[in-house]
Amino acid sequence: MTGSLGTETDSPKSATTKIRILRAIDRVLHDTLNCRNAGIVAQLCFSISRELANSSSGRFCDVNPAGFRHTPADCESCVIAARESGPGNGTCEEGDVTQDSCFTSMLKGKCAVSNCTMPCFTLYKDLVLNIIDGLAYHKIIRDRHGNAVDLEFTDVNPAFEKITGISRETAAGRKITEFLPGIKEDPFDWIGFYDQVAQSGKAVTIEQYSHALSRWYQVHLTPKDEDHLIAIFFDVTKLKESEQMLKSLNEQLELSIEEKAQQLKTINNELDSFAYSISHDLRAPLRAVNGFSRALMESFSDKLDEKGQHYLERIRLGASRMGELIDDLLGLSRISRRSLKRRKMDLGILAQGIINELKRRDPERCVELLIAGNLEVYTDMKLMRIALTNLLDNAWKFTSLKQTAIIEVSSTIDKEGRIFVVKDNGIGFDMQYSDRVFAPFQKLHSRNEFEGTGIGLAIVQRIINRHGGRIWVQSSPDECTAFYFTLKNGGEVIVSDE
Amino acid sequence: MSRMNNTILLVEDNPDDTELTIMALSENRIGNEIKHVWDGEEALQYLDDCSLPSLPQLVLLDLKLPKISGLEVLKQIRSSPRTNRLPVVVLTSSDEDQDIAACYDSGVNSYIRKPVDFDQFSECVKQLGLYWLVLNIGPPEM
Repeated sequence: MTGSLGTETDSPKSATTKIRILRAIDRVLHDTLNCRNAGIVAQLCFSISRELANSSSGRFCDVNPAGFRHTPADCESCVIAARESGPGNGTCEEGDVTQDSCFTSMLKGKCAVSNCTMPCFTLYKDLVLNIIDGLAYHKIIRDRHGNAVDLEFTDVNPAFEKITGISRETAAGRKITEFLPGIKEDPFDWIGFYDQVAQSGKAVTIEQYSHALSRWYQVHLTPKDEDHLIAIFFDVTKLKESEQMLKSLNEQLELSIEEKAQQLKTINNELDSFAYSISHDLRAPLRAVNGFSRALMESFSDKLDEKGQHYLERIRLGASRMGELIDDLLGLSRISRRSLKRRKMDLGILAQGIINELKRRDPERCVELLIAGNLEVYTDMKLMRIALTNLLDNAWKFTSLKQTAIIEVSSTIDKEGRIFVVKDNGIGFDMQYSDRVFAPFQKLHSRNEFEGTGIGLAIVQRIINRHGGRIWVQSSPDECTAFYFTLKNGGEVIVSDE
Repeated sequence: MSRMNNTILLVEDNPDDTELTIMALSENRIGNEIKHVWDGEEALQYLDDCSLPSLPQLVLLDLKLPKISGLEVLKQIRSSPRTNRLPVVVLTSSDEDQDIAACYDSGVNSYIRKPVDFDQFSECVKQLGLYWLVLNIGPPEM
């Protein structure tokens, strides 16, 4: 700056005029930031200042009051900021904090980055003006007792305008309660919080909803001293909305899972009471059909011919059979309802016990039992006993026409893991019917040939499924039948299981 | 414990089952007097009736009964010092584990599931009669 703009002998009036001039220069600086060459900007400033000094600056100010963007305090803070920003601007000394020397120093100051010739002021101004985060320089306004009562927005950057929708003209140099009166109704005490941060001297980052602006902001506050701080912030409303939506979706999901679980529980309870009702209510009329048919036969046999008695016998048998079917269905539903109680057990020992019982009941039969060693598994004892009993009952039954029946219980390993095998040399069946084997009440042999309701393998399959395994069959007529099944983790004990 | 006579108290709400049970008892020549009641409330009233000269020798109790369930009747029988030693046989259609467990927990003497087939049922009643009315020594008179 030239000496004509600032001497220590200036009268107060002329000093005010000069300050106004400087503000105008500042505005020009601001508006000409697009000039890449800092020298051109400087030259521009000088020429304008000369021009203003020789004209009536008062009139200039009156005509363009909106052109003043800086308050004197703000200008001072610019100088302080420039001084603190690094050694490259070392030309700004304590005593230089006067209106003209402040600008001079800043324009002379060089960037701290080596080889960079751009003046500090331009560099920082560029940064402040182009950064996408909102920036605001604040001063805490206190009452005479020192209590924070308001917050001055000493200055703000263009991103602030964009983010908040509040223009620089509205905010800069003004108190927040003036341009955003809604701040007083905000449940979050912004002024109090800013004061607290300024007093603490420690930078903080918060995420807070502004009720006055109806937006979420992440605000990073850096205190300069106990009355001043810098706020860097950005709008996180969309993020917050997404977060809240995610949270509410999660809650809905949890609710719906809970609802589903509740529904399942209700269905299970219904199933339970249905099974109970079957067991109790359906059997009673069957007893009546069977019982009174028998009574009829006993008491009135002389009045019934052979055909009549035969029909009564069929009625009785039908009722008894239905009783069996109901019991089988109940048995099947019980397997699904039972909670698994796994323990270590050996399928070989279990199979031996079951075959011993079959031998005891049918001592005439000649059956050779081959059991492999080490068939240890970790399963529900009661259910595995039911499964193995059904498989061995079948093997026993379908080998009854053989001179020497052979039943084999063993295991092999393949890519699926451990596979257990129950094999017999019985009558077998045509593999085209293999998919019907495990369906309830499906039989591949007529009732006259072999007893049974056809529920056994359906029960076995359900038990294996409950243990996380699968079962399949290989058979060839008059040669052999082999049932293969897997168990979860190969039936091994896994501590974390269940 | 009051003195017992040789009456059998049959608690059964189903008329078919009632008739079949009486039929089975009679065809097995069990000549005890049979007192039949239709529900749990009636059963408890009968047992509570102080004018009775004595308690029945055996109670045949169905579980699913109107008003007061068979299980509740059993519990009340066991909770009264007058009847707590009374032989009670549950005769029911249910073979649900929870029913069986609840009956044993409440001090039932025996739990029988009624078979559908009348021949089996008749055999069952015969065995019951033989065991509880002939072989078994009932609680002492008090």
